[in-house]
Amino acid sequence: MLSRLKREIYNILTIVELEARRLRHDYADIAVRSAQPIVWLLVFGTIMSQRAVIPTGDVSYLTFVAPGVLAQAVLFVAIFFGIMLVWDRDSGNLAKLLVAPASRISLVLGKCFSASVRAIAQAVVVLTIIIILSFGILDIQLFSNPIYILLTIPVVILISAVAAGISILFATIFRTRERVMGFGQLLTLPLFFTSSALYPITWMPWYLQWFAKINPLTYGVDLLRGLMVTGDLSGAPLDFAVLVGYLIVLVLACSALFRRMME
Amino acid sequence: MKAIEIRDIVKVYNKSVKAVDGVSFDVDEGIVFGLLGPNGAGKTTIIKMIVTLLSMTQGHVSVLGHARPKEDYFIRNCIGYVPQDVSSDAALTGYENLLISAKLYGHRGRAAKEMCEAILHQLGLWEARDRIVKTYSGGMIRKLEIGQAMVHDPKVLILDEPTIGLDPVARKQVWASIRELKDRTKMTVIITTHYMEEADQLCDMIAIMSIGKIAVIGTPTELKASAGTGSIVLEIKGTPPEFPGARFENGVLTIPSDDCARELPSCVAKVASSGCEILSARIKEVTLEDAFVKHVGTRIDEMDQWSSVRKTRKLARRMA
Ligand SMILES: Nc1ncnc2c1ncn2[C@@H]1O[C@H](COP(=O)(O)OP(=O)(O)O)[C@@H](O)[C@H]1O
Ligand SMILES: [Mg+2]
Repeated sequence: MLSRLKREIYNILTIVELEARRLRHDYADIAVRSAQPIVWLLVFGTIMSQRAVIPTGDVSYLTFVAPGVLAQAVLFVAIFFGIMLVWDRDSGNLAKLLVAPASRISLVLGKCFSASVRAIAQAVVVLTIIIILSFGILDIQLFSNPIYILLTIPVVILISAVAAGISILFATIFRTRERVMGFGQLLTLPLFFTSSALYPITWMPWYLQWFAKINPLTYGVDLLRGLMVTGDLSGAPLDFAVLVGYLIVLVLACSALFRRMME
Repeated sequence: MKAIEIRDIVKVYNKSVKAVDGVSFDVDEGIVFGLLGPNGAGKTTIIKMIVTLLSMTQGHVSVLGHARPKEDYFIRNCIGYVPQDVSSDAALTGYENLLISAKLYGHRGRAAKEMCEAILHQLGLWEARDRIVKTYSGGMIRKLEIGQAMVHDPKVLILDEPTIGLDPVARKQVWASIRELKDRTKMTVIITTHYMEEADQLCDMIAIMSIGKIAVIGTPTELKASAGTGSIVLEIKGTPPEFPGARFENGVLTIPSDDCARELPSCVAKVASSGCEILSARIKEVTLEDAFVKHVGTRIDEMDQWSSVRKTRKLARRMA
């Protein structure tokens, strides 16, 4: 029993290693994808901060939105992971994993954390740029505890795993590349705009506030903002619990539906 | 114990396409078993049901005594599978592909590394180990995939169309790799193919399939014998002597024979001594092609065309 568990953990790590090795042969991908959040920060962030339309309390708007931009980078990497999975299935790569002696749960978890590998690479780039910008270039004041900044990495892992889980769930339900792509796009905007990434939740109309409360990204952004900006981690246990809860439910659902994808 | 036991399996896709329609067969341990049939016959579907990728709509499959789907985990531990489509990761090197496979089957650290290196040497891929698989030729990829399927010394190796799309030279190399592996490890090998020559060359036992059903199962020799005997064909000037069952038309004498090569000299001598002049002599063996025609009723390449036409039409309809 214990040895089976050890073996499954090893399987998850192997699937993650596969992704890390893929990424190593493809640096360009990270560079290209990092541009988007930074452009977002520079353009959207600066415009909004000059108009001062969004009430962000004691902190500048750019400071407020920095964790949101990091969350966006992570979300966009992971939310399309289901397409890669459909691609892997069509190309025959997935068959290899499916006939290996690994449980469906470790397979799905391995794929979720594979998205995390890409998300971490992305986050490191984006975070570095934000930190550089915060030294007198833009009006960004980060919480000045390097340990807190380092702790954003596990949060990035968790957010991307949940987003990938959602994406994989769609992949198991919709099965074709085009449809999964369409749903990824359809889902990204509401996930992003109804989280607290760009403005405080209280700023939204009541029905969007309600959506924000079930949006896992809200909890991820809250954690990131606590670590990067305010240093206030009083909401962290709840945020953490919600994200882990989402991950567990998604992984179980995906493993149950995984067979569908191969039919 | 049988390597594979299959009883009355049926597979219906999307509640509408009946891809496999009541197939049963056994595969003895230690042989090379071939599923021979045109594109669309249902070979891949049967293979996917054996390797635990697809569920059966009806029927039973067991591998080395382990029944599907209850013992899928055991089955996965004892089979190696090379899918019809390219399954190596094109973005990784050959070595990395092997390493990931080795780790998925529980090898770790130094042992995993050494095993991968040994396999690379065996398959003649050592020089190319650090190249991205994207740059490999079709034959190299197939060999790498076979290597990946062998990391756990499987008792049963399953290859779906191992030489599809390969040039004749690469095809012969892949055949050689399969034979070498089989002789060294004594494992059971199952292949699917739509190449007559491949089935004839590699297989100890062949099941001929058409449209979801198995038409006949036998050794290559049995199948060929079932399609009749070979014949000695002599082109002659003059009137030949009598041979039992022989035909003579337009100066061509066709003599049926169970053992053409052995009987050719005596036939030639008999005709020559009767005073006829022999212009040419050749042997026409029965081929698997003849067996296919006898049991299925059409030539395999005609069926191929028919099914690919159907497939393209279906695709066109879906896109419209
Ligand atoms: N996923 C699928 N969904 C629907 N039909 C399928 C699917 N896979 C195969 N088929 C159909 O099932 C039949 C058998 O296919 P297949 O097993 O791939 O044959 P073969 O491997 O002998 O070429 C074909 O008519 C094919 O179009
Ligand atoms: Mg096939």
